[in-house]
Amino acid sequence: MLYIDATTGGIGIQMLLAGAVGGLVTIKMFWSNIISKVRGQKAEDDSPEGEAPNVG
Amino acid sequence: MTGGTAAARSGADAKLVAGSFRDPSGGVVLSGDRVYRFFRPGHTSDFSNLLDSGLLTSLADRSLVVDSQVVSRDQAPEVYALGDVELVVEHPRITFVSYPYEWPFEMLKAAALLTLDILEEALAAGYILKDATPFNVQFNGCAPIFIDVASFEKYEEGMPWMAYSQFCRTFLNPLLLQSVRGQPYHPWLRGSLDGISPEAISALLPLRSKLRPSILMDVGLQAWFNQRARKGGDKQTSKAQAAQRKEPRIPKAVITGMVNRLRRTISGLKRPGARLSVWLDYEEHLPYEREALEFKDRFVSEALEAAAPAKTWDLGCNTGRFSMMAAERSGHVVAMDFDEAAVGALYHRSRENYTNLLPIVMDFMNPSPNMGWEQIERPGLIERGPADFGLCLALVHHLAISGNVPLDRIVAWLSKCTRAGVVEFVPKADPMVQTLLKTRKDVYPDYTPEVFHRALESRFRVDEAIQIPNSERVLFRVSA
Repeated sequence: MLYIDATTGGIGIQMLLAGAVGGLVTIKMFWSNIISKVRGQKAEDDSPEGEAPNVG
Repeated sequence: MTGGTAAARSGADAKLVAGSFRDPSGGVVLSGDRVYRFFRPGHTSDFSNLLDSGLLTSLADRSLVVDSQVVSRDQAPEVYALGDVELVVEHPRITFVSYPYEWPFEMLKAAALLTLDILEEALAAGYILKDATPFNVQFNGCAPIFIDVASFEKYEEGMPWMAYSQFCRTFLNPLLLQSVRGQPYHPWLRGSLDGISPEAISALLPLRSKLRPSILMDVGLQAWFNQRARKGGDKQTSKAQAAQRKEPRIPKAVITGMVNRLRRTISGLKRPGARLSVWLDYEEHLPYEREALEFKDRFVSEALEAAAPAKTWDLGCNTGRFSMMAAERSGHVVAMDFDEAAVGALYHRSRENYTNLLPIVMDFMNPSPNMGWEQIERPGLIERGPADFGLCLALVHHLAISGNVPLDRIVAWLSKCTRAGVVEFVPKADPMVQTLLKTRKDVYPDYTPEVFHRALESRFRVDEAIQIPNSERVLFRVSA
């Protein structure tokens, strides 16, 4: 008799998808951090000295 | 749900349904003509919470899930008397229980989509289906209905959908086999109640199908995971078990995404070939003259009206001309034919207009047997009968000449299927029988209307025997 449960493959796929979703979220967060940092830097460069960048 | 008094039913025997033994939370019992589901102590609060959530009521109101009414000890004493019973609900009875290996392609597909729709609503309400098999679905006419209310369990954030593999084995893979490879899944599902494994269907699908993203995920990748676990032996097994023990956190969005993907895949699956349209045109090419057909229609119609049966079986229904006639004159009709495409055509023809007509695939030379655990879990055809009234039109010559079954044994089998009915005998001179005899030696000296008449008299009362005008065919009206 086999000791491998028939659900093994199904759980594997769900873990894989969960990992992919997690990975995508991480990449998205990483990317948006970079974007916001670049934008922040740019805004800081563009704004007059001492004036807060307009992010609203 | 209607009520007889407890006193009237106190003598009823509550019997556990043979297929209801796996779920430790309870089971289904039959008591007289009533169906009850009981819950054991320790499993009641989950179901009560489910009832209070409104999910079941909402699904039952739309006839997607079977209705469940809580019954007291006074209303069903025989069920509570079984012991170890804390809560009992009553379900409406399904007139004829059918199984996935008896459903044409369209019905298995409808059952699959119903299961996904219910799962989606359950997830939105904080529940999940702990199993997902076609055995949890029955048909009222052509409308699928989910019957296993014990299958709902509370969804906890991060839990996987444990029934995903089962869904693929028992719904998706059989549908793929028929839709992509053109091979009916019925013999396979009858041989394997657990469905078709991802490895088996993967070996059968052509490469271009397997590379479709959805199929790659649900078939190819799943097969790969299973094979990898199997090849890894103890090491992989313990790794997989360790992973499962760690309770992988699966976002709900992953499960809803899988449900949507499966729905898209299954919705797009079509019956292969053009055979369905051939059957849909069949009525225009019936092997009868108009007068003969009108006579037969009238004879069958009058016999049905006189009998007014609660349950009718149309044995060899073809595309259901007489099944639909019977549906207008009896409580419930089960229409059976061995030709899966003809049954599929009947599903298309009848589903809008007849709520009491159930079309199923049945080969009478090899009908559904008793199967499953202890060979009683899934009862065979005869065990689900007999009908009050049977139609056996243009079938006997197939059984006798193609199947080599002696006439007396055909009649003995008929008497197990039905208590009364109309039987047609097509004699040797008929062109249809001549077609059958073209390819075989005539070893049927006893194949005559007289011998058949005598055989009928040994098991039934023959109320009428009449030859169809402009034909040598004979119609018999029989009763118990």
